[in-house]
Amino acid sequence: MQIFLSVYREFIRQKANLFFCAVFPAVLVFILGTLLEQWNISDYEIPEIRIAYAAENEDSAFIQYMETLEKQGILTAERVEDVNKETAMSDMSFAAVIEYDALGRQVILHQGPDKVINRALHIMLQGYASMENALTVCYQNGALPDISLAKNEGEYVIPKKLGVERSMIDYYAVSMLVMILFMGGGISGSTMFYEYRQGGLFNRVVVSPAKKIKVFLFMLLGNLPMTAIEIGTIMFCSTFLFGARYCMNFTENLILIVYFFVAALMINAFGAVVGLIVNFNPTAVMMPLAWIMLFLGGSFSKEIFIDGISNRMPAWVIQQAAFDLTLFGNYNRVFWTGGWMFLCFFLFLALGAVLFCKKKEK
Amino acid sequence: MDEYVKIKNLVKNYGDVCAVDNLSFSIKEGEIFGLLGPNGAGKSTTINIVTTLLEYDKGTVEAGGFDSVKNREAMKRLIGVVPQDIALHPFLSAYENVCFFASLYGLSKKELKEAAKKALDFVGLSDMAGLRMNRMSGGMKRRLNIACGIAHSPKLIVMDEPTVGVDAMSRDLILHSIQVLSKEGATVLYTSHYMQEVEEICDRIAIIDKGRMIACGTKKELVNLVTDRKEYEAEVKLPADFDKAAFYREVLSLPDIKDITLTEGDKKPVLVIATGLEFDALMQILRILDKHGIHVKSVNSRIPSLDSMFLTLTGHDMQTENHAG
Repeated sequence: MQIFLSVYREFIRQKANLFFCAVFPAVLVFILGTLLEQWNISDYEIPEIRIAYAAENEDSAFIQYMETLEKQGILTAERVEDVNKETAMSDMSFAAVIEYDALGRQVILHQGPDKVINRALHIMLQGYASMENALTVCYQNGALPDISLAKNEGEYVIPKKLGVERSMIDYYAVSMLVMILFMGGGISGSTMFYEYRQGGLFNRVVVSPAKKIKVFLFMLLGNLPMTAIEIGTIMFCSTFLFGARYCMNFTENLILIVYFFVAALMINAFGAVVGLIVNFNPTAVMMPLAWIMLFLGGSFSKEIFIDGISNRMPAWVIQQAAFDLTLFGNYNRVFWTGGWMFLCFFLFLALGAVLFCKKKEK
Repeated sequence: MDEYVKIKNLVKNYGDVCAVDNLSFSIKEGEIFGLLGPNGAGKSTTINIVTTLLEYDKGTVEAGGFDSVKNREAMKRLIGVVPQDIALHPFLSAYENVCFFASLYGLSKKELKEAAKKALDFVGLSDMAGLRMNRMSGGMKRRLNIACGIAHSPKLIVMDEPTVGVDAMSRDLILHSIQVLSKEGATVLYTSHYMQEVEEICDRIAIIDKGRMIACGTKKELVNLVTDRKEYEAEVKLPADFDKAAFYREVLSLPDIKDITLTEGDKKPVLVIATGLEFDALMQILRILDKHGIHVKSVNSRIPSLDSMFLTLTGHDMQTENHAG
């Protein structure tokens, strides 16, 4: 217990540690949360869409489709005579210009600068084309399509909530936790033993009759409050300042916390092994290692994924299991990954204890 | 007194370099044993072997009846180590540091409190129990270093240059503390390259150089190895009717007088009287001088020291070796 207390007190009394454990994660969450609030793609509201369209035949179904869209309030559609003149327009008041080519049986979408509107229009027009194809097939097969021949003046599509409200902060909150575990926990685990050796404390412990494995374990555990503070800070700040959501209920959140605690144990133990092996500052090893794992594992950006590499990164594996739990309430991956991490912790613990016992300072 | 520590034919090599070369010595129970030698002599290597920090290539090391290989754990319980470097937790208080190191020796919670209090009292830091190590002066850190090494009441205390870089007051306190520990029954193995300290507190001294034992014994025994005399040198003023022969006869009649020389001429007369090492009748010589009308301006004694003894035995000066190292 004295060993645990000494490591814990050493940590908590250094202002720099408190900064990196509590203030820095809070600042990180604040910066990321603020950024994501403005660039939150999943909550992006498509503004009013004003388009111009040209079609030759007055009775064409396409014109009917466009007029219906306008009546439904989905967009404002202005029919124009000459699409070429309109595509060369200078006022840029149209989000896009649509040209219906009856002869070529195609719809040409002249896209504007807004990618989201372009995508929405593309989907609408592709929907129209798909419906035309469906009707053609029915006609050719002689089957009557199961639709009302009368015009439907009411709301045909009724929007309802799916019940899942997620945003990018939910992704990055989990990935930040993983990042802190690797950067904070791994590096502190490694430097703790390195500093012990540098300060001569290591020799003093080695010459004592205390069981080395016990000393090693309690020193490792003494390092965990730091990781707990980091995790707590990120979860608290992301939840209460930026509305990040983790799991659906208390039990799952508890499982998530235990899961990250086990991850912290494993990563700290790994860092300790590195700190006992290298004879120079282990930050030089842990920092680039952690950075590469996190980068390739998608912790810095969800866009980064290299099949065969990313999905083998420990950071990715830990993250994905956490996402399974937070997004879908799926325990399996968390239990499997957690079990493996626990096993790895014991392996690193055993290896670290052996190295700790064998280590003799020259 | 029985032998508490026995080292026989100890050999330790670092590759091609022989750090300890067939070293043998023993330390009696309750003794303060000094290990003296210049930098690179093998003191720290020997210390590290005795404290089980280092393994050795040949020989035997025993302490308290336990062999360092066969009964390693039992031997560790007997030993308290005060390392040369100040190895303490910088952000823990004095009390917390002592408790930490004492806990490594299996003390219970209650025993820890009592042991920490006693150790801090012993080194004069009881008023600073709550002060963090990184806020202490160098002397206080050294004393705390000692407190952490003795808190569990070890039978054998190994001190590796415990007074390096401390002020005179702390140094005196440390040396006094070591003597008290010895009186209380602890055996102390003390290394230093400060001759004066070793002369002051050690019961017996071993001088090692280049991994080998040069000499071992009490200070008197060591000095006897190289010389059998000491000298008194006096600057004098001779009377006009000075009878040199009579003066010589009277001085030489005193017991344990080896030789007497008087240099005269242009320079002021200098009288040099060589005596045996045990001679302590300087007052008698001064009375004889007074009787013969010889006025003494100054007197210096040239008593053989460990420095001169080391120089004679090894052929080089220990302080120069240390500065060069």
